[in-house]
Amino acid sequence: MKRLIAILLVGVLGFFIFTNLYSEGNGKVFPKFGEVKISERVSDKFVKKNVNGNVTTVEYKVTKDAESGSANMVTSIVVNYRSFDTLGEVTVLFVSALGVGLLLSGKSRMKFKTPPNFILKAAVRVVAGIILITGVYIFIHGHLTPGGGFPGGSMIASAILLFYISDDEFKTKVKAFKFLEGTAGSLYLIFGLLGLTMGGYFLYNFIPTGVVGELLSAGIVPIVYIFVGLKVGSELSNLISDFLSEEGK
Amino acid sequence: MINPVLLIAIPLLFAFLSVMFKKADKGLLTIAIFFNLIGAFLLKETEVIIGGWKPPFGINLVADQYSIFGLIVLNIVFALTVFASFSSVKKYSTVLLVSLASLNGLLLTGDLFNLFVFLEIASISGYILSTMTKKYKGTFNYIVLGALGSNLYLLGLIILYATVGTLNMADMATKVPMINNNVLLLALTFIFAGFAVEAKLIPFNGWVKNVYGNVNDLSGGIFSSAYSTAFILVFGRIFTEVFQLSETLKVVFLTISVLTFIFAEAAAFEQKNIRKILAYSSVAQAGLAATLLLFGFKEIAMMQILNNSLAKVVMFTIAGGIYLATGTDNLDKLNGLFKKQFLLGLGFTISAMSLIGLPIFYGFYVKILSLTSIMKSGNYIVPILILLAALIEGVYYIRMLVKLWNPKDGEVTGLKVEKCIKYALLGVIVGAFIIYISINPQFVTEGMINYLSKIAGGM
Repeated sequence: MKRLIAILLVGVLGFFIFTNLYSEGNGKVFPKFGEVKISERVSDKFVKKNVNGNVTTVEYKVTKDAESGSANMVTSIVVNYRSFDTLGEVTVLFVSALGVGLLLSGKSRMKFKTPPNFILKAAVRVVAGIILITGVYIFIHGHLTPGGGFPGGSMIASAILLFYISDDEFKTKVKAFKFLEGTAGSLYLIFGLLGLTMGGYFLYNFIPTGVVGELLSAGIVPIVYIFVGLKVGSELSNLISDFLSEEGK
Repeated sequence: MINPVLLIAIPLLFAFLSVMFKKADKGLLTIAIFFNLIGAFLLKETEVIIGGWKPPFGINLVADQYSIFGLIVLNIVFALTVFASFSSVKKYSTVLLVSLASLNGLLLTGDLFNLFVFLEIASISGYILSTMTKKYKGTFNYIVLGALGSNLYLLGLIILYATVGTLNMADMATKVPMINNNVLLLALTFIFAGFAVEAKLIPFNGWVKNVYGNVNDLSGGIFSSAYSTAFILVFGRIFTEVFQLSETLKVVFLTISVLTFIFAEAAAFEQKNIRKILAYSSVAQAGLAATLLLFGFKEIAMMQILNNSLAKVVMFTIAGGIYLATGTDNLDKLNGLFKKQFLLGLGFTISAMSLIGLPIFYGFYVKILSLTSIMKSGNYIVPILILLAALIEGVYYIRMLVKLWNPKDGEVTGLKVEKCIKYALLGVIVGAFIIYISINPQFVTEGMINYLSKIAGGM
């Protein structure tokens, strides 16, 4: 009976959503896929990089000091135009990891029932280094190519996970990771506060932004992305180690 | 003049630092709370841009009279709670710092997506704080409902963003009239449902009973005062300033908030445990504040929120403290408790009286004002319902007080409450303030207006 009511409720809700979302009438309706007028929304100016009124077109490796200076559009929105949100998202991850740590943290490491075999151990030695380097590459080049702090950080954590799976004895130094996590987070905020003192705005991009497309460009964007990458990497690694720690010990 | 962003940035910075310097975490918590407390009073009416990108493209923080009032109340009750129950902080100081930052952010932000981010942070730190008494079932309930609520809010926001393409509150307010009615109905229903979870409105408040009913001295004050103040004020900001509700939608939302008020009072009447009674009473007070906000009486709603958070911070902290000290909060087992702990009882009683709205107390003034204002707007059913619910409220609170003050003859409770000096101190200080504003209600209304208009002028 309960299930029947649940199915019925979902059906009614679906009908409610569908009829209202795709109704015709006065005023702006929900746009169909691909029929959005980009020029009417705020993202238009993010894409063209003319929030502050510059109207020149942005050319790769030529244009200097185009607003945020990052070649990757998503990065310039995430870490520059709406950097405050990213700071918030970093905090979301931070506090979630903290909660897991408070609830699950144990002293000793959980042992697997079947010990990892030799092939796994040898393969991880080879693969983990590549994964680590790729992760670091992804967050250092976050302002040039797709990627950034969050995916880069998760890659680093996946390498740590491989270490955990392949070695019964492996245990990260949680203290060091906590230190890294705290440092990266505080440095993000300190850079924000530096922007406040130097430019008058919190999280202001106060470093010269350079030529679009070069590694040393985009001002504080790559620096912040490195902090985010380190922070996410160490947080997720901590999360793995918390989940693999034995309860009550 | 202080930059409002510091109220968010400093606690957050200290939260990150407290992970590194484990031993100094309580000191960092104290400094951050003092900083925020002083900072809230130093705020001036202003709008701050973040990152140098002008709104609607960048994110802005809005410190207007509404949010400054909220910030002052929020930071005061936060500080009171934490200092009155400092021994319960233990490992939770980082979480408290994050929640302080996010609650300040909720009240300050002028961007709808940024609001979602702070909502997430606040609710996640809320989940963690609710595990303090190790009753995980309630927390699990809260997590499921809270996650659903914030996702519904996000879904509503996505619909709005896809339709008009903006996230800034002020910009959204100008573009709302352009949106098709059906789309707006859908989006607002989702946003309302999302906020109703945190604002504790029926039928989205299933988590309250188990979370509020199992708090200790610290989390009780934080939830019932700081969290509820922030969330109900944000609710008010969204549904009075950003979106103008159509008549039908307003009636539906009003029905929900009035029903919340009545059902919660009726449910509180049934309960036997102090914290459960207070939990349902919190739901009811939130319903009353939401009703006032939806009617558009922002000032009265603010007074109601002040009254509720001052009273609840005392009552919940004491109830949590009693639970910690005696292991129970059942009314029948605590007969005559206040006879032994006179000071504890004094603060608790004053707060309860003010919350019920007995004459000469501040709550009376607030209730009369709200009833007459709603009647003046031509609605007679709602005031009658509010009066009816207030009657139930009065009955169960007075029944509770009578039980707590009167020992059954010959029977000694046998429960020792020794570590209660700080709770008594909190109760007496807040109680004295409540009595002061009861005798002199202009202190809040006019004082607030004078204070706010004074700070509005000079930049």
